[in-house]
Amino acid sequence: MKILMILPLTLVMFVSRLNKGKTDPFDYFSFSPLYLNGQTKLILKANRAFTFIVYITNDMYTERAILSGGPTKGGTYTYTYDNSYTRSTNKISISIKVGTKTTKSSKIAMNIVSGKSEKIVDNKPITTDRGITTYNPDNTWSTRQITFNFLNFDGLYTPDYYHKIKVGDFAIKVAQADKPFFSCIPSLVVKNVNGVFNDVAKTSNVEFPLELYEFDEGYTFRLKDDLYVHMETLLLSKTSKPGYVKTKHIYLPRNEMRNQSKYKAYFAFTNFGIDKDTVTHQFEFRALRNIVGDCSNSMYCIQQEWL
Amino acid sequence: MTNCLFYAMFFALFLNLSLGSLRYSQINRVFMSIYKGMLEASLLTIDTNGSPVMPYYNKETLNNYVYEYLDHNISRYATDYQISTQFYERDSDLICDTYCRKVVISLKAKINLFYDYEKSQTFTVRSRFEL
Repeated sequence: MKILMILPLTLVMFVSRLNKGKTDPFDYFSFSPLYLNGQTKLILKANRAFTFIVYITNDMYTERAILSGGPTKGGTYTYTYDNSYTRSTNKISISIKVGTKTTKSSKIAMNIVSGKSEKIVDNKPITTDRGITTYNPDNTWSTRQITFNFLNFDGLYTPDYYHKIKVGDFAIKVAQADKPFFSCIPSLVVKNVNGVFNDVAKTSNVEFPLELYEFDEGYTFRLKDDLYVHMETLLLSKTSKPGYVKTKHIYLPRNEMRNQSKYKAYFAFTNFGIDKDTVTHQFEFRALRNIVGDCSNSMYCIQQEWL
Repeated sequence: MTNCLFYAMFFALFLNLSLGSLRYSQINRVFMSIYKGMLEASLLTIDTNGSPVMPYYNKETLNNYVYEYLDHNISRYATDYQISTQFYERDSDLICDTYCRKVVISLKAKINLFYDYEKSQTFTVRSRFEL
């Protein structure tokens, strides 16, 4: 009798598990149709192989297939397709197939992008102007805008002492669900006061390319390229020279605290979102004490004893 | 005549002691005035991997600074002298080879026939929280 009761239950659980496997073909999938500078583009991002057909609907065509393809592995793909099908307003839908399962999105308006934009956003959440359409694990489609903001940072960076700018101290918050679709090229831009960074770049502002390093709440930063630092003067260089060692830190030159202890720098995020915007986030750097000197105003000092 | 000889010897001894005392104080003033800025300037704040570390002495730079300063100033008051620097681990006082944060600078100088000048100073790198 007991076996008769358990058997149907086990069967139901087994079937539901099979179905669950079929309805969740992607960890993530997004597509973003763009009309950028007179060119029609489609950006697809997925974690695995799939095949797709893209349809256009406007005042001339109804669900006309305009593009198809089948990436054999996950990644980000940009397709440029025939411009002759597009009109002033267009709606795009996509049908994707993974294994035996096919799903089709609703019709979404094509993003019209006039060009790259530049914004200065200080201490505020930064959101993409246009959304991307994503396929969700629950078999639905939605359009989302990607947002990020600095974590625990009010625009004033006060390191313990004047020595270096530790990019790992900064972090940006990105929602877990947005992470697969978040992309940008970050960099830190600092002033080249008195030409102290001339061996990195002979410009008034010096740009240090960064890379994103993921953690639970979002991303933190680290230097993308190795630099070389002189062990005594802490001057930085892009190339190796005698007396210099390789480093992954942005050091501030010695004996320049008077000129470098308080100034404005900014983070630049280029190619953010499908619009490829540039967003800058300015902050003030303020070092209150030197690394070596008198004990009253330095982190380390020399204690003298007579024998 | 004997009295004369006695007074001459006494005067020579007195002169020797007086001049010796003067020389002692001059050498002492030079040695005790070792400028801490020299030692601060010889500190390195990164290791050979380019990572930040607690400041430590660059032995070569420190020796250059100390010897140059003492040679230049002591030679005016003494011709026979020895300068030495010895580096130690900061907390264990063991003799140190790399990343040394404690140095003992010693000076031994011949003042006159009767006595020498001999002193040492220790310079230790400390964090502001340790003082």
